[in-house]
Amino acid sequence: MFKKIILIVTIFIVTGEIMIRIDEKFIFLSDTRIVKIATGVTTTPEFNLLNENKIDFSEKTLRIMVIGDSYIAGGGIELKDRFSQQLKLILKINNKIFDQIYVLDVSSPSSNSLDNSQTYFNYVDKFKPTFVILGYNLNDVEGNLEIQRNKVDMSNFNPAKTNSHVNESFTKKLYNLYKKSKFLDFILHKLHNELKAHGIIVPNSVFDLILKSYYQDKENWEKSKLLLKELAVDTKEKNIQLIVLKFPEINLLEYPELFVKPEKTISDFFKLLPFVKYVNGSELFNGGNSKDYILSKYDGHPNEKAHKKMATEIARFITVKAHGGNKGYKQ
Amino acid sequence: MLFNSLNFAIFLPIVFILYWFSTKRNLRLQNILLLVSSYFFYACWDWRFMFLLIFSTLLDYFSGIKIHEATNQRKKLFWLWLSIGINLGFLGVFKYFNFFAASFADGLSLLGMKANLGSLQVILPVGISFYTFHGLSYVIDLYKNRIKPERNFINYSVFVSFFPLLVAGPIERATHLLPQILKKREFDYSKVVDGLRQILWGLFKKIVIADNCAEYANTIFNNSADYSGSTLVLGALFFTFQIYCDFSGYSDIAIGTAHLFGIDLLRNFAFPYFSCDIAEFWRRWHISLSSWFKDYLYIPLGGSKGGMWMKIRNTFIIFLVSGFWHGANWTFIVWGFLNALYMLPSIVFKTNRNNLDIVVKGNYLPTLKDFFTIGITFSLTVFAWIFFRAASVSHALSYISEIFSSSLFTIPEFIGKTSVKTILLLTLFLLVTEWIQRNKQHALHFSEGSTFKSYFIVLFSSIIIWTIILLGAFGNKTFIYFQF
Repeated sequence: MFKKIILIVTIFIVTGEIMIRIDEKFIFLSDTRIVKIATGVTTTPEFNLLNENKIDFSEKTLRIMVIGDSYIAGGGIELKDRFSQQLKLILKINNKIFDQIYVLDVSSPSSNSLDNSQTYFNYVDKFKPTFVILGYNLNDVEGNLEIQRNKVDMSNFNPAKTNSHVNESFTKKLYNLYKKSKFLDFILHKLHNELKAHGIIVPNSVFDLILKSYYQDKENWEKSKLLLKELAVDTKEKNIQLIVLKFPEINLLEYPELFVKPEKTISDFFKLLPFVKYVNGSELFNGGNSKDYILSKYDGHPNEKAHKKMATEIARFITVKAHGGNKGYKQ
Repeated sequence: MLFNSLNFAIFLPIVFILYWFSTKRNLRLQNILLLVSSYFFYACWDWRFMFLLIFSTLLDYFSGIKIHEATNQRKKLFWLWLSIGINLGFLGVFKYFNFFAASFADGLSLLGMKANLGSLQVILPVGISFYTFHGLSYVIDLYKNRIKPERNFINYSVFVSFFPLLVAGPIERATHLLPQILKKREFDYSKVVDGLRQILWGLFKKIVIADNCAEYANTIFNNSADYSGSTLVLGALFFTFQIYCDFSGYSDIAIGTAHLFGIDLLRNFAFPYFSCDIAEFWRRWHISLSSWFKDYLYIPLGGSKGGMWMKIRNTFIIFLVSGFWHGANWTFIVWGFLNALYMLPSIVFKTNRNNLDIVVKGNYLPTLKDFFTIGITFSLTVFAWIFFRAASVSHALSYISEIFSSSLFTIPEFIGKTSVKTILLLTLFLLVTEWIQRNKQHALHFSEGSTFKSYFIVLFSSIIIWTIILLGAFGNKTFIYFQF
C-alpha cells in the first residue's frame, strides 16, 4: 500500500514538473491572460502634445506630471478609468482659473525608485510641471537602485568551476533538486499567494523581504531614500509641488497590521521633507472592504473605483492649492 | 457556494469526513448532516431565499400527505393543484413577472395603447426552477399513486435540498432518490473513487474548456457587429462547447459528489454532441429535464398515442415550454421552437427512435455516413445555440445574417492566437476522450484492470489535474444553468 502511494505521488509530481516546464516554454494561454492583466504603457494626449511641442507653458495652464509604477499607471483597467485620467476630469470640473489642464502620465509598470527618479529628470525640464505626483509603492525598493557607471566587460568572463557535483551529500542533492524543481517553485508560489491573500506572509518570501527592507535589511531603502530626496529637493528648487501618494496593497486592506512598520518608516522619512505633500493611500481606505477595490484577491493593484477615490483626494489638494481655497469643490 | 471555488473545496471534505466518520453510519444522523450541510450550502448564496426553499419544501410535504389521505378524488385534486399552483406561482413571480409585464406592454403599444405595469426588482432565487420541479414530481407521483408519502420531514427535505443537485440539478424524481435517502448507505471505496474521477472531469470541463471558451464567446457575441461571418461561426462554436462543458461539467461534479455520499443521481448528459439525429440529441442532453417533461407533460397531453398531429402538437408544446423554462426571454422560446422544427422530420418519417444504442457501437471510428449525420446534427445544434446565447431575437437574426454573408469566407479573427489554438486543442482532447469512453457513464469511468492500467489511470488523472491547474480560467465563474 505504502509503495503504491509513493508511486502515485511520484507520477503526480513528475507529470506536474513536465507540464509546468511545457507550459512555461509555450505559454499556452498567454494572450488571454495578457488581456486580463494588461499593464502596458498607453500614451496619453499630453505625451503626444509634449513630443509635438504643443504644450502651453504659460501661467494660465496647470501642468501635472504623474510618475510611478503599474499601480498608479492603472494596470488592468481601461485608460479612461486610470488615476491620471480621472484626476484630469475632476480637476477640469473644478477649474475656475486655468485655460488648460495637462496631466502628463509617464508612469511605467515595474518601475522602482531609480526608474521613477530617471523618469522625473527626463521630463521635468521638458514639461515644466506645476505639480508632480509620485505614486509610491512598497516594492519600489526592489531591484537595482544604483546607476552603474563602470560596466564590467562580461564577454571574457569565465565562472570558476565548482566541484559541487562531486561528493554531493544526499541532503545536498535534495536541496539542489528543490532549487531546480519547477514543481516546487510553482506550488510554493501558489501557496504564498493564497496565504498572502489571507494576510499571512511567509517568512523570507518576496513580499516579506520587501516589507523587511524598510526596517530590517535597510540597504535598498537607504538607496531609495537618497533617490527620493534628490527628486524632492529638485522639485523644491524648481518651485514644483511634489505630492507623494503611497499606494496601499488593495487586496490586503483588512490586514493593516502588516504595514504598520514600513508605513511608519516611509512617513517618518517624508516628515523630514516638509515641502513634500505626503498622502498615505492606506488611510483613504480605512474601514473599506478590499472586495470593492481589487482586480484580483491575489493582487494589490487597485481597480477603477480605487483610482477614483485616490484621484479625488489628490485633486482636492491640487484644486485648493492652485485656487487658494476649496469653495464649491466638486468630486 | 460554487463547485469551482475554494470554499467548496474546503466544505466538501469536511462534510464527507463528518458523514462517514462521525455519524457511526447512523442513517438518521447522516440525513440530518446532509440537510444541515445543504441548507448551509444554499445559504451561502443568499440566506434570505432559504425561507422560500423551506416554504416550498413544507408545502409539498404537507400537500403530499394530504393527497395520500384524501378520501375522494376532489380533495386529492384540490391538494395537487394547490401545490402546483403555489409552486408555479412562485416561479412565475420570481422568474417570469417582468417578462410578462414587458411583453404585455409591448403588445398594447402595438395596438397604440400605453401600459405601465412596472417591474419587480427581485433577484432570481438560485435553483428555484430545479427544486420546484423536484417538488412537483413528488406531488404528481403521489397523486398518480406511484409512491407513498414520506412522513419524515428531514428525509423529505433531504430529497428536495440535497446540496449536489440543489441549484442546477439533475432534476431528481422521488421514485429514484427518496428510496436511497431512506436506505442505510455503506461506504463503497470504488464508488468514492469513481465519484472523485467524475468530479475531476467535471472540473476540467468547467474550468478549462467552458470558462476559456467563454472569454471568446462573450467577446464575439457582445461585439458581434464588429466581426466577420467566419469569426461569428467561431464564436458560435465557442459557445457550443462553453454551454456543454459548463452544464455537463456541473452535472458531473454533482453526480460525482453524490457518489461520495453513497447516492446515485440520474444521469444528465450522455455525450450529446455525438448524436446522429436531433431526437437522439435530446435523449442525451439534459436528460433529467427532457424525461421530466416527457413524463409530466408530454404523456399527460396524450403523448404519441393520438396520431401524427397530436404527436406534432405535443412535441411543439414541450419544446416551447422547455425553452421558456430556460429563461424569460423570447430567444429561449425561439430556441425551443427551432428544436421542435428539427424534430419534425423524424416524427413524420417515424425515425425518432432510430438511434437508441451507443454511437458507432463496437467500432473505434465512425463511418463516413455516421460522420456526416453527426456533423449535420451538430451543425443544427450550433445554429440553435445562437438564439440561446443572443441578447435578443433581433441580435440573433443579425448574427446569423452576418454569418451568411461573403465575410464567411475570410480568415476568422483570433484564430492565430496561441490561446485560441490551445483552447481548440483542449476541445479536441475532450472530444477524443469522450469518444473513446462513449459507452461509459462518464469520460473518466474506468473498470478495474491490471496494475499497468491502474497506473495509466493515475497518469491520465494527473495530466488532467495539472491541465486544470495550469490552463484553467480561475476566478469562481458561475455556472450558466444557475440562472435557469
